[in-house]
Amino acid sequence: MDNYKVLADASTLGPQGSIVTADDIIAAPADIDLLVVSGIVELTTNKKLEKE
Amino acid sequence: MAVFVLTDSQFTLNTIDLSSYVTNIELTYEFDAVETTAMGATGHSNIKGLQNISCTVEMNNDLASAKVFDTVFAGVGSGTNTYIVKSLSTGTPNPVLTVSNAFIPSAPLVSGATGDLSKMSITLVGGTLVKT
Repeated sequence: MDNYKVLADASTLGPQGSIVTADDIIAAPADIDLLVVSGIVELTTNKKLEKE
Repeated sequence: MAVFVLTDSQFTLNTIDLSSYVTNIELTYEFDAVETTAMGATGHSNIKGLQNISCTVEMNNDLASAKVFDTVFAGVGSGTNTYIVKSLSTGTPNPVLTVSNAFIPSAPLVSGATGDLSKMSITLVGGTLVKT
């Protein structure tokens, strides 16, 4: 499952810099793609490492 | 619970808590009235159709990262906005009204006259409302 770093300081997802899962965002509720485009969260999961 | 005055209503857009900027908010819960009137009727009759939600929010503007301007700007033109409205910040009962897949058709990015406080007034339309 992908992890995301919270970039915004006023997000209900958690404090700025905290790591949340895709499920956390969906449960917020919020749309993951929109939050990424908005700069509210950024993807942190390294998919290459996951495959290895 | 007795009657109350709105002093600390909560508004969260795409997980960003914008409550401290809100100066006016109105969330309208509505269903389309689908007409079922037929021959022999003496008046119109309807059944419940689709939800037709709209929420107008007026906020003091803030250009800082992930505040009013940024959050609204990113949401304009998107039909996947999620927002949460509560009448009170705390207390019981205090229904949580969550609207998913709302659309923001437009936003006044710059608005006002000389000497005015910069404001941002938006209307979110559509989506599905759930009360918890």
